[in-house]
Amino acid sequence: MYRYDEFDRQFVAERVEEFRDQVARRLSGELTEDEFRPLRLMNGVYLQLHAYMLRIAIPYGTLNGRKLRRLAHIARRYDRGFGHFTTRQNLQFNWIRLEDVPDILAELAEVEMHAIQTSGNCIRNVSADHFAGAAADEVADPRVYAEILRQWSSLHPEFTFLPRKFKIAVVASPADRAAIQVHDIGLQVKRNEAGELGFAVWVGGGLGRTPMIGRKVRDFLPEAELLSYCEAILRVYNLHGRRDNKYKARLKILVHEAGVDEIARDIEAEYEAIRARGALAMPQEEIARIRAYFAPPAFAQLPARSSVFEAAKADSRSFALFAERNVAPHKVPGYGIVTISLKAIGAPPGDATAEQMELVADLAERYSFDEVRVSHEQNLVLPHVRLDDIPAVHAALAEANLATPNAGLVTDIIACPGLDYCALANARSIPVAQRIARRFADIERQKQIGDLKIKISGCINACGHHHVGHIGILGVDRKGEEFYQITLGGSGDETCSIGEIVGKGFSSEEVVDAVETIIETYLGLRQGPEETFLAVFRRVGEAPFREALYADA
Amino acid sequence: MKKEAKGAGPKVLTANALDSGLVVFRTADGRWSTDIAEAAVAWTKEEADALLALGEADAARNLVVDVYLVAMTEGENGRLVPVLLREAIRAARRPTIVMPGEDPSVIAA
Ligand code: SF4
Repeated sequence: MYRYDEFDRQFVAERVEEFRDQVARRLSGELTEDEFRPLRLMNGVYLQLHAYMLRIAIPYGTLNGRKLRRLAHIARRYDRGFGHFTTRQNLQFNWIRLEDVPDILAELAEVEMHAIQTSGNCIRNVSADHFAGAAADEVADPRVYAEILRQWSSLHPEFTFLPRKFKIAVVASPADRAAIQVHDIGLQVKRNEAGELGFAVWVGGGLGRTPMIGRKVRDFLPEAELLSYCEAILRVYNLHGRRDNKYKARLKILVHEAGVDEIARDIEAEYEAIRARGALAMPQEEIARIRAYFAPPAFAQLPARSSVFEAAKADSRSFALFAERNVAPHKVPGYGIVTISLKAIGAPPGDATAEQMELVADLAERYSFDEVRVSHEQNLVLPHVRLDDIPAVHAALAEANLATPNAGLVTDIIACPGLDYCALANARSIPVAQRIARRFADIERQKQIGDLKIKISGCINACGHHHVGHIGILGVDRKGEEFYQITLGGSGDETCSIGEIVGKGFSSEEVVDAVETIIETYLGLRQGPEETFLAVFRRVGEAPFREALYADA
Repeated sequence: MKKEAKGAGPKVLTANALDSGLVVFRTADGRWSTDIAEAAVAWTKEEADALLALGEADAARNLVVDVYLVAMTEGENGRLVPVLLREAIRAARRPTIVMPGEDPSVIAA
C-alpha cells in the first residue's frame, strides 16, 4: 500500500489546519455560506437531507486494518455508529457536525486519509479493480497506475477547475470489474506482443442523465506515456468542454457532440505538442518506486488444493454456498479472494457498523496481509486469504451478519442512498433494494436465477449505476409519488451496454412484482442454467419482457 | 429534489442549523427547533412571505443555511404534516429504514 512521504504528510496536515480556520470563520459568521460552500465541498463536506455528510476518499478502494479501524472510530465518536460505502469506493458519514469536521480530518490524516477531491469539478478518487493484486486474470497490479494518477491529479493546478467532475478507472485484466467504460477515462492495463506493459484507453464514458459508453481512442498506449496522454485528454476537455450548461459539461457530451474522431485527433495533436516540449515519459525509476509500494505480500508456497477448505465445504452447507459465490480465484495457489457481502437480506446496501468494520480490520490483519478492499458494488473484499483459513474467516463473518453468500446474485443489489439520505433524490432506493432482497431471500432460488445485477438510483444522477444494471431501477417523482422506471440489459463489464427503458414506470407497490415478473420471464426463456439473464436479454431483446410486464395494460 | 412550496395552503419554514447541519424549523418565538410540531405555521401568502423574510434574516446572521418553505397538509389525526415525502423524511429526522445497529422496532412502531 502507498505510504505518505514527508511531503504528503505535511501537505495533508496543513490542509486540515487551513480548513479548521475556514470552519471557525464560517461558524463565527466571517464567511458567508456562498463563500464557504466551495471550500467545504473541496474537503468532502456536503449538506444532505438530514445533516452534513462527509465523504472520505479511499484511493482505488484499498484500506488496511488501521485505516478501517479509524473509520469505525469516527463512525462511533462523531456519527451514528455506521458508515456507507459508495459505488465510487468511498465512505460517507451521514450525520457529521460541521464543527467536528476539522478534528475528523485530523484523525484521518493520522492514518493517511483525507476527503480532498471527493467533490467539485476536479479529478475524483481514481477507482480500480477491487481484486487488484490478487486476481488470477490480471497482467499487473492496476493500483500502481491508479496511484501514479492519484499523485499527478491531486491538486493539479491546471485541472482543479474543470468544466465538471472527472472520473478515471483502471483495470488490468480482460474482465472489467471496475466499469471502466462508464468513466471519463477508462484504462485497461495490458501487454503488447513484445510483452511490454501499456494501456487500452477509453474516453467519454459516463452515467448520469446522459449515459454514454466510452470510446476507445488508443489500443495500446505505452506505460511511460500514461500521464502525458491523460494530460492531453484533460487539456482538450478543459479547453472545449462546455461550461455554459452543467448538464452538458462532462467529457462524454464533448465526445458525443464533436464525435470521437475529432476528439481523438485533438487529443493526439495536444499529445504531440506535449511530446514536442519534451515532457513525455514517466521515468522507469519512478514507476518502480510506486510499484514497490504494491509489491505482492510474502505469499507462502501452498498446494492449490486445500483439504481444510474442501472438508469445510463438505461439512457445512452454508460454507459451501459461501465458497461457491464469495470466494474468487487468486493468482497464487492456495489462496482465495473473499468477498464480504454488505448486502445481508434486508440490510441497507453498502452500510457497515463500526463493529463490523473493526471485525473486518481484525480479519484483514490476521488473515489477509492487512489488506481490505472496497468494491464499487458496495461490498468489502479480503484479497489474500489462505484457502486453509477461509472457513475460520467465514465463521467470524457469519457471527457479524457479514457472510451472506450472495456475491453477484439477485440480492447483491447496488443502491444509492436515495431519498432516505440524499438531498437530490426523487425517490427512495434502499427500501426497494430491501424489499427485492426479501422477496428473493431464498438462496436456492437466487442460485437458480444465477448471475444477476440489479442497480437502483434515486434520481437521474445515477449514483446507483442503474443504466448498467442487468435490471436497472430509477426512482422518479410523479406528481409527488415515488415511481420507478425499469431498464433492462445494461452491463458495466467489458461487454458494456446501457440498459433500455422497458416501458412506463411502476409505483412503489408494483415495482418488486415487476422485478419478479422480469426474472420469471427470464427463467422461462433461458435455454439452460448457464444462459444468464444478460445473455437471454441480448438474445431475445426486450419484447418478451415488455409483454410480460404490460400484458394487462 | 427540493421543491419550493407554491400555491395556497399552510406552510412552515425549514433550514439546516449551521453548526450541526440538522434539519430545523422556525418557531413562532423566533427559535429554530428540530421538532416540526413546534414550527410556526403560515396560513396565508402574506404570512408565508413574512416567515421567509425572518428566516432569510437568520440565514444572513449565520444561524441557519438553506432556508425554504415547506407545504403542509392535514394528516390523519388532524395534525399538520408535510405534503411531500422528502419533507416528511426530513421532519422525521431519520431515514424510513432501520439504520444499521438499530432496533428494528423503531420502524415497526
Ligand atoms: S442517484 Fe440521485 S438520489 Fe441517488 S445518491 Fe445520487 S444524487 Fe442522490
